[in-house]
Amino acid sequence: MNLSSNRNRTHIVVAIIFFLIFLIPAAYKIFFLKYPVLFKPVENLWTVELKIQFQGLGEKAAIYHFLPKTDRGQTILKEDFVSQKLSFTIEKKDANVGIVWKGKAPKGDIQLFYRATVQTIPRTFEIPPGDAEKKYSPYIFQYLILDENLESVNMELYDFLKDLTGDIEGKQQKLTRIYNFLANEVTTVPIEKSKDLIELLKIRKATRSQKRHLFINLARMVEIPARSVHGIFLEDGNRSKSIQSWAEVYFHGKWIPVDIENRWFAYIPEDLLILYHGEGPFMTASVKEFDYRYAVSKEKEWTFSQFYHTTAQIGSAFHEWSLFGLSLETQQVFRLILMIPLGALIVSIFRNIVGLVTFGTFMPVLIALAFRSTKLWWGLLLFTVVVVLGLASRWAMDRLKLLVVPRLSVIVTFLVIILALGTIIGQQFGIYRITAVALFPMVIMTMTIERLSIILMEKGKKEAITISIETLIVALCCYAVMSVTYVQDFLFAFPEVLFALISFQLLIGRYTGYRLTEYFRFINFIKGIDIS
Amino acid sequence: MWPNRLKKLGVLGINKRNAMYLLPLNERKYYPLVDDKLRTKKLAVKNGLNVPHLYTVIRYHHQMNEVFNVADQYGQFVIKPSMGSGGEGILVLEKQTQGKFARADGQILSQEDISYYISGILAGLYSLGGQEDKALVEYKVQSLDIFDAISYQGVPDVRIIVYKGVPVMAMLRLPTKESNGKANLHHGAIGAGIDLHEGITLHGVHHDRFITHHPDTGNCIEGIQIPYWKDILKISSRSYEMTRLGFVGVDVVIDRMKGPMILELNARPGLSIQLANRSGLSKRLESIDSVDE
Ligand SMILES: Nc1ncnc2c1ncn2[C@@H]1O[C@H](COP(=O)(O)OP(=O)(O)O)[C@@H](O)[C@H]1O
Ligand SMILES: [Mg+2]
Repeated sequence: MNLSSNRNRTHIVVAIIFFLIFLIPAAYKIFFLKYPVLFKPVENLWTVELKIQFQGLGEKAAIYHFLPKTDRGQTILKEDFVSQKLSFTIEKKDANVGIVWKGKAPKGDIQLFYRATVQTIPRTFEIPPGDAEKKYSPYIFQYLILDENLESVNMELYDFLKDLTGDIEGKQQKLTRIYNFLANEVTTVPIEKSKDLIELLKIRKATRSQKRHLFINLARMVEIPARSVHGIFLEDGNRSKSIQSWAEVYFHGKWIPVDIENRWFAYIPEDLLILYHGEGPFMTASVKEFDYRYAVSKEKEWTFSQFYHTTAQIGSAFHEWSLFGLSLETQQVFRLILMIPLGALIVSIFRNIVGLVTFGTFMPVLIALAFRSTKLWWGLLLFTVVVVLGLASRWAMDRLKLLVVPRLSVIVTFLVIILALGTIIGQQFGIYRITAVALFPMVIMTMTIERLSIILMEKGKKEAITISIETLIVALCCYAVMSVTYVQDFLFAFPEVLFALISFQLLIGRYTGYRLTEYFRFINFIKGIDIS
Repeated sequence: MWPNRLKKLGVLGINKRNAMYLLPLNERKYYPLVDDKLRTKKLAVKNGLNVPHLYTVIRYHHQMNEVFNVADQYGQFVIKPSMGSGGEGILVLEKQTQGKFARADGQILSQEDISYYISGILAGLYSLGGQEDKALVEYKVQSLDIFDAISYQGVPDVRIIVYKGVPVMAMLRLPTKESNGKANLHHGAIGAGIDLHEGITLHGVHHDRFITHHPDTGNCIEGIQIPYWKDILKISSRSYEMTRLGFVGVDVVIDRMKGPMILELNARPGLSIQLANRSGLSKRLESIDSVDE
């Protein structure tokens, strides 16, 4: 007896040790490094990460691209540059800031990261009254020079411009006329019909970028400096490589944005981050298999991550070796991964202390993760479909006498059909959530089907329905806890919480008390009907 | 208030069963001995215990016809998945004329139906996790007359919890209409507690509720003397040396001619037996431990 009670205590000791492994670094961070435990809400704060990938060949490599800078409507709060192999230099040229990554790239995959924290404020532009200036500085003057290939067709273009604006005075009015003409009379086509700008004006069909070039050149011909501007949309979760381009014209010492396609005149939306001005591509590189992509995420609060960025200079190992140092993409994955042990703890509590029965041990956590990627309602629908199909499979077994594997395959096929139909219908009605069905939830639902059908087999229909409902309850609880941003951020800033989770698990693992459901099961004992 | 009551009564909960009894006393490596009924049967025979006679084992589809040879020879027989559990997939059959077979509930099956059923068993329709399985064809146990009044169609069995070789609690499981003639409690069979010394049934439990009479036959299930009681206890206690499992549920059936026989062993016995006996297991288990020392 004594021996076994000694053994009983070891798990408590181990649990305490694990809890201390959590407590000591957490306390250090909070009290010495002054990690915030609560956040303040924040508006218009964004993190933009650019990831460049290429194949190193053991030779010299160079990559040039532009960087956003603090400008009207946008403040760059913090920038990070990450490259293991290449060095970089930042250079300012005219209106732009650029970066050159350079060095000998070893053989294999090479990745470069640029990350910026950006705050935006609404921009307003006013065109001052009175005509534009007559003389420009040499710097501005370069934006009056026509494209080289246009010089040869100068005359024709001038004739056209004369037809269009000859009857009006004033540069500004002329510009408005040009803008209106391009915006209203020239159809935008997705594919170039011709390379010749004069030809385009005749057929009145041009691509977006051709229209922008026409505008810039026509503006220059009426002696208004004009150039392209490029930027990206700050939209949460925006991951792409597409760059937005529009034009800007110079009036009274100010650049005024104009976008013919979106019909912005002296206006650009607040959520546009300007990257660079002028012509040419965003990035140029002298390397092989080169690709880049940027990721944007909206920061809802002054989170631990901003705290990290603003205090990185503290130079503590806790900072340098924290998860915040990872690339944004990896960080987002880790945010989810860190939730899994928490979900597992919730499942343990429900199974061992409450006494609910679930499909498999971690199915509820996986289902909760699936709900996250499908959004709750669509996830619930999917789950219900799975359970109904599972029950129907019981019928299929009894009536059609199908064997296990083909039967499950039929159900999975049905699920895919329902998914396809749902997606098509969703698209038709513009419910985009549905169209965002990913592979991950599908895999999980397929696993659920398998588990469900085993339960159906072993324990019958009634039990299977009960277990489905209980699985759903646990999954919803996991979902609720796991979707709280604060919980996610807290775990991310204090990953040592995982050790605390281990210590809880150890305690639950040795919990030998009654499960809550057993009080109901043995209710007759409790009610005190005569017991021998 | 009531949390204490369960503890005072010594009711064993699932957590405690797992942590204090299953984990330390039932080693994983011995589980296959009881999870596969064919192995249990062989083991029991080797140890000189009585089991329902195994007519044949069907492992492959081409052996299917052996069932019909058995049928020709014996008339009555039982087909069950070797790795099934919870009463799933058990077919109790009696040969009729012209290649037809009758189930216990009167349903008539053709040879084709039976072949199909067996191929389901072989494909793993009833085995844990859908693994491929074998179909056992065995002797159909002939129920005793005294049980006719208190069971519906099937054969009742006696479930005994054996702790370190000592029977600690027992119940008689009686099939009902709802349980489809199966003696498994979660299918709706009745459990009646048994006085361990006398072998006389006590009170009943049906779906975790106390009862005194069989819901289908209307007869009282209390106070019935189970024949061969001492033998049953002896048989069940042999399970420990046989399997090395310290905490098992032994299922024993009593045949009209051949007396008590081991039907199967269960390494994770359920806890409703406490309700049937209106008594907690913990007290009994602890008293055995104290004798040990
Ligand atoms: N040979 C048999 N003869 C008659 N009835 C049987 C036979 N085998 C099983 N049964 C019936 O099926 C029930 C379950 O059988 P069992 O072998 O314990 O399988 P399980 O592991 O599914 O519980 C028994 O309680 C009994 O009612
Ligand atoms: Mg059984």
